[in-house]
Amino acid sequence: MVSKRKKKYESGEGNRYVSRKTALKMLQLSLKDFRKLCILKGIYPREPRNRKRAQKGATGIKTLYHLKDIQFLLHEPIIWKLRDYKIFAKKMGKARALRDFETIKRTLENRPHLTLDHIVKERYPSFIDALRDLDDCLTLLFMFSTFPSLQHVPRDQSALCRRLTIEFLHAVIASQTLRKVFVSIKGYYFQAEIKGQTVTWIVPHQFCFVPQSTLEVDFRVMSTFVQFYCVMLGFVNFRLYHLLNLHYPPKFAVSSADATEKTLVDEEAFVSERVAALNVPLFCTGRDTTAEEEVEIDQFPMIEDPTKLEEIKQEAEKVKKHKTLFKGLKFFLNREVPREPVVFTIRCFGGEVSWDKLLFVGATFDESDESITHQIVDRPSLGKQYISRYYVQPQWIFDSVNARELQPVEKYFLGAVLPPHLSPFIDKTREQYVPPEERALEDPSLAEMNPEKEETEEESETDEVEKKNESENEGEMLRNEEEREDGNESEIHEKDKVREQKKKRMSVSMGVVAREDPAEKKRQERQEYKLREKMIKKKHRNLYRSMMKGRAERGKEAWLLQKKRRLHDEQEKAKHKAEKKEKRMKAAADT
Amino acid sequence: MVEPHGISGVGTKKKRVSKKNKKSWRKHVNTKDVDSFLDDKRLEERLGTPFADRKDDELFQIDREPDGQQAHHFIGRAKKPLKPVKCFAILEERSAVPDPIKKRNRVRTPEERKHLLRKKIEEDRKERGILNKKQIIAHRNRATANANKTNRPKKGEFNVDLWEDTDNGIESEHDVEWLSPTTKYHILKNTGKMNKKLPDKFLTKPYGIPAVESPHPGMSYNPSYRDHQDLLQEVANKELMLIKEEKHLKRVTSKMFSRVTEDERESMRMKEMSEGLPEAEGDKTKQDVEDGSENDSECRAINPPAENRKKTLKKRRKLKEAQLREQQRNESRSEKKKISDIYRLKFLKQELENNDNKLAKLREKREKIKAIKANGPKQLSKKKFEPLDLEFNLGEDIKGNLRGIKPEGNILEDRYKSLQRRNIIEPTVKQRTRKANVKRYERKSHKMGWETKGY
Repeated sequence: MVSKRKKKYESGEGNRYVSRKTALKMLQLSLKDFRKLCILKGIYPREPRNRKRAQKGATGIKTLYHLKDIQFLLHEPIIWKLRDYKIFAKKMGKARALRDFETIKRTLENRPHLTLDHIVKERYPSFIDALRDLDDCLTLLFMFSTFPSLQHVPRDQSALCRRLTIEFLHAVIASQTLRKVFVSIKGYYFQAEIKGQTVTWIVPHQFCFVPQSTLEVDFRVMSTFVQFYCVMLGFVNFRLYHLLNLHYPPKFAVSSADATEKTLVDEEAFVSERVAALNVPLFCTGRDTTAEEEVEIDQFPMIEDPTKLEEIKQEAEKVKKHKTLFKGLKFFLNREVPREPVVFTIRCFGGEVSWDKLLFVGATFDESDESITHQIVDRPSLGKQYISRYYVQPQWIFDSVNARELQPVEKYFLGAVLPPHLSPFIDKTREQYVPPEERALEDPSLAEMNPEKEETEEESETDEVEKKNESENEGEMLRNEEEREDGNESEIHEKDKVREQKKKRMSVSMGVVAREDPAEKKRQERQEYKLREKMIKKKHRNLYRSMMKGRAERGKEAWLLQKKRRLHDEQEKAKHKAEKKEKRMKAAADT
Repeated sequence: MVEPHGISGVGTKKKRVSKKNKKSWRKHVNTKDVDSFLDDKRLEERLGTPFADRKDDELFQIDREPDGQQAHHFIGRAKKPLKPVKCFAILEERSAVPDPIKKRNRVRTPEERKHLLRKKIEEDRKERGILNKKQIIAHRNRATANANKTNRPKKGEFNVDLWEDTDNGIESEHDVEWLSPTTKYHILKNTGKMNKKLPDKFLTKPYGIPAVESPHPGMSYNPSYRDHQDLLQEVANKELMLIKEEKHLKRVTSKMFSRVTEDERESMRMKEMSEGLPEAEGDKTKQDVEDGSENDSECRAINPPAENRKKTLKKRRKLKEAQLREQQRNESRSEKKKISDIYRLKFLKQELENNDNKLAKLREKREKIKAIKANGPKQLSKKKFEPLDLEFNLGEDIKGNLRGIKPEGNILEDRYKSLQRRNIIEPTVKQRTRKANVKRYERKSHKMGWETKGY
């Protein structure tokens, strides 16, 4: 029997990919729905290794998907919902054209709803997985929360985005997990560390709405992403709140003073406004967890390097301090300060905030309160000022947060020229040359040290000659003493010598401490390190090599720059010294 | 009836017509007044009694309430009584003329037609609470519909912990040690609690870079001088690259061709198109004459017939011998080479090594390129990915305080590009829906003037 003839592209790469058109036919969906489904389910287009083979010999570039991916999509129950939605749209269109309002009402009541809960669970099997993917979600939702109703964006979407993002901010405040803030021209960058995952997001600047150009961005696609991320963030919020023993949806205990205001607006609006103010602690369902969380770090005797453990401990201590950076401080915001980001930042680190009562709801104290420690001002001058408080610019808050300690207020006073706002997102572990001026900016202790140091150096240099003389004198003295001792020894009797020798033989000599040769030890360590390097798998070897090479290069560069700087500084100093000398000489000549 | 004199005028003579027979009588007699009288009467009959005959209280009513009170009785929009439905207007009586047939048989409704006994039985069943099948089904349907309506998930309502089981390590209840795997499978399958595990393939992401990349330090609203200069340098370098590329493209395309005037182009085209054609007219006639003379003699095939030339036996033998000799010579040569190669062994080894080295180098290079490409955007559609320009503030735009910040860049666009860069969505070109170019014209019979008015 003759074996069956093999046809082209029936196995291998040709059989593994399908074009988008084929996928549409397989799923019986329109392109619009297919795009939506792919986004919701997390199916991505693929790039084949050999495009011609994957496209079954067709030239040109097609959008390809894995066949398995499409088969996976075939099982998705929401496909039926999408088809239902198509029918719904048809019915609505017809009823609208006929002005059949009864049918319109009925179909609208029975409108198909997409439930995405199971997809969220499927795509993020654990909570940590969801947290890892939160960057995109938060950035998009913060952006969409500023939008009015637009084409292709459902009318209620932006309101939902606003609600969810505010709830998330509350969770961050309650857990005190904010770590870094950066004010860029694009927006505010925030970084929080939630359950060991760093989450970074961008919040746009609060200015009036800028119309978005529909040419560059596909709003329909972005809106689908937002639709999915809304559901995801909702569930993340739910879990975060429950982990913090907070009630979800957020609630807070109403004080009696607010009761009169409460009668003026309806309940829902009242609560949502208070929540948006970010200034009221939320209603706790159980005990406060923040106090409990201060657990001691476990001892790990297995860790080889004790210094590493020490480092970890120090870091933990620093983080603990960082969390309560603004504790006990009372802030008052002037009207020109962007309220939301500043309030969020202050509250994350335990500070108390308030603002003008007419600016936004939720103000807790007045400007005239004497216990206010800092007033945040962003204008060149102010009419009435209180002596009891500092008037600082908003950058003080952000810089303090990034430096993990309160910055000296003097640099940030009202109307002062601010020091540059540096990015906290630079990897500082990389060996890099940092000019001393920049280092001083980051670490003010260095800055205070530096000028004094220079002065002392100059003084010391002038005294150097005298010191040298002194040391020489001391040396001579020492030599004399030694000689004298030698003389004494020669006078000892020979008998005593023999006796002593005998004694020495009898006595139990003191053990000599076996000194380790540091050079030898270093050599051995180096050898071991090299051996360990050899154990690196072949898969990672090249990467490791390139990494080490890069590190060496960077180190070399930094060293070179440092050297240049040193030489330059020395030159400058010499010049400076010469000038000073000349001046002195001149002064002397004049007198 | 004869027309009155006053109307017909003084000067006009009344024309006499004969009304001798029935036909001419009908034609010439005027019955207008009689007709109008009868019409009026019929109309009155239809509308009811004439207004003149009606009593006062049928037509008017006495206003007993003061005017001020009426203002308070404002009937809201919702409370307005419904008008009778228009579609049934045709069924109603529109004439006041009474029905001439006094006793008209009406079709009775099913309820009226029902037998008294039947009615009694049904009433009894109803009292005892016995429902028939139709009613039971209707009841059930209504209940499910109501339940569906109330249980419909509301948008933006989250009241379940999705990750409760996985994060707390709670497995499904059937995951008991002593159950055999087949039993477990059977239970799971038949109780509808089959929890499928998604293959890892669907959970891996097609990118290795973070979703929100850390910003350039020069993008701070109040950057340090060095960072800002770095950023500007980067932006400038990118721009220079673009300019260079453009220059290159220009040099390679448009500058490669010299400019030609219109006339020159025309003449060149003429020359090109008439290439190979007979040129002058005089020549043409001559050639024609010659061709004609040739054609007259004989028609020839294009390919001449093949000649059957046979090789002689001797020739064949010689050929064979030559072939054999050639083969032998080749063999001996290869043998010789083998022997000489033994002495070239070292050299050969060197050659092989060199080749290997070359290949290894190439492989390394390929791997390097692959590693670089791994994190980059892939080619997912016809359009190539184009990164966004870096956002930057010029020196004069930096005010140094938060109040005077000049926002730059669009976060939404940045997200869109980031998704494309991370291979989550393919770069696309916005499709423009082209409208059909409809020619509008007015019908002659239906001139509205909109063609000139423009609407």
